[in-house]
Amino acid sequence: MTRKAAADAERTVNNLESILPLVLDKNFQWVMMACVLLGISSGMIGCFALLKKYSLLGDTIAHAALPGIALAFMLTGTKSLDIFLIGAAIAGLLSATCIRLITYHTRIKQDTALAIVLSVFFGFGTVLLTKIAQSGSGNQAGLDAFLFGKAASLVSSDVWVMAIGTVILILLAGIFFKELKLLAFDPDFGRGIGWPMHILEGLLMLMLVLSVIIGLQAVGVVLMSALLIIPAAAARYWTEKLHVMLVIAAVFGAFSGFVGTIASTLAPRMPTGPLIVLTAAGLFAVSAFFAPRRGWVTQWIRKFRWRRAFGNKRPVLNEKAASQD
Amino acid sequence: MCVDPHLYKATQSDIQKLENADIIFYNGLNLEGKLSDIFVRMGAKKPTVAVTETIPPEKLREPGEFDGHYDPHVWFDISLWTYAVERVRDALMELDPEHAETYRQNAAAYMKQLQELDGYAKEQIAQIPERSRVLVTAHDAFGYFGQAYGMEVMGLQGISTDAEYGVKDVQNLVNTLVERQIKAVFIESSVSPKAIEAVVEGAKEKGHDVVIGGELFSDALGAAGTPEGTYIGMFRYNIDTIVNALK
Repeated sequence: MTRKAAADAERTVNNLESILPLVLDKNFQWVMMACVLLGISSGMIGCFALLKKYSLLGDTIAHAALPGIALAFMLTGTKSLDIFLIGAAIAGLLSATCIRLITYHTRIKQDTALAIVLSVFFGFGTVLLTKIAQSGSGNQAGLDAFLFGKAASLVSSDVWVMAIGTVILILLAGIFFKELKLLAFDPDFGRGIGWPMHILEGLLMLMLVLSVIIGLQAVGVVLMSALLIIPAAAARYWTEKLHVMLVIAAVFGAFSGFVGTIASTLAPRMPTGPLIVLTAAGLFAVSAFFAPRRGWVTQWIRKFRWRRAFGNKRPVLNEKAASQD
Repeated sequence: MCVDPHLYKATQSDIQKLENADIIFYNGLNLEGKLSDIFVRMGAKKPTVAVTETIPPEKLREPGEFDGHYDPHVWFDISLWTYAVERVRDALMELDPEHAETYRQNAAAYMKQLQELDGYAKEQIAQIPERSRVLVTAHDAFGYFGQAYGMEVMGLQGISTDAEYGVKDVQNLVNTLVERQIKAVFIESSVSPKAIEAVVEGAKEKGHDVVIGGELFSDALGAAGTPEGTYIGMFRYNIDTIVNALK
């Protein structure tokens, strides 16, 4: 080993030593694992949602969870995570069903249906929260905290919930990959060859509800819908193949969770959830600018090269014709 | 008011109640963040009194994280809350001079109770070993409390329940708990318990058992009709909870 290499190795060891206590810290590990898992599952499901033009469905489901949580608290009187998750899941499924019923049985388009369902559910939830606030129990707080998640206070039980949720989602996406792909690209063809497209659509909504509910208490409503949309949208720039897109989106999601958690660990007063979304947004910007073929900069460079090669010159045939004059 | 007052938004029926009132008392010092405009408007129609307005400014805390505002949680220092009692008494005597003597007597009786409460608090806190007089909560509403009764106060979140926190904030607190062997932390009635649970679990992983000392009342009183639904009952409950967990 040369002297330079030895010095390099020593420097790396020193760096590792200063990072090591940080990485061995349990709070860090819980938050890190949970956020990476969340990034993987929402990145993946986000791809199907994006291609099916369901991106805002995640947002609607997340907002619709509020009345579910409030009712769960009113009925049981306890602030238990499990009960809240059940309440949120039921309300989320109900909202997704409402959207489907409205789009299939009225002339209203899907975007309007999403907006109606989101505002009605969230409005109802706010009414319930106010009711709870005025009931005098002095104990309602934490309900809306559930909706605006605090990633920094994730603990081992949260990691388990997310790990199980993520495994279920990956399995579902793997088993029904072909079916979901058809649903995303050509549902009419699917219907033509006799596949139960309604059931598949229900399955996709179920997967969305699952991924929103497990992420909700970690990063909150707004950030949850961001995680469903941004990694998938960024991944779309890099490939034309669905299975590649799923992997890229999952990697982007996981990377955002990883970097967001690290950044939040380096200094005090750095909120974890928002940092994760900022990282995802950074990845999106890089993709939009520099992705091969589809990125703005690459397209601009291609145009520029084209112009330099052929410039103001006329096509070859005309040039010959011009020189003969 | 039983929810977080920093964020409380008035409903139409609350406005109605304010409209029908003869006189309105509120804490002031920006405690009721979203309601300030309403109080200003009401002030044009009827006496509207911020009960903290006569506290001399030099007695108010002005911590850095409050962005140049005073810390509004003055009721946790009984000597300061006495000013509020006087302010209420004077406002009522002015509004209803006929019963001035009754107001004077009631206020005097209440101040005596407050003095007893103050004595009780000091006596109880003296039972905690000096080294363990550290109050860890998720919301730093207890600045005046710490100052008045000689306890160090540490929080996870910033001034208002609005503030966000990150992994580093959780880690710092866990390390302090382990290093100084602090036995208990406290959840407040109007802050999500999740924040502090992460701290307790983190400390346990480092081999230090921290228990959740119980819920303290911070920005809200207990339910009406219970002892904690009054100021004195609430204060006494907080003192007992803290002393039992830390001594």
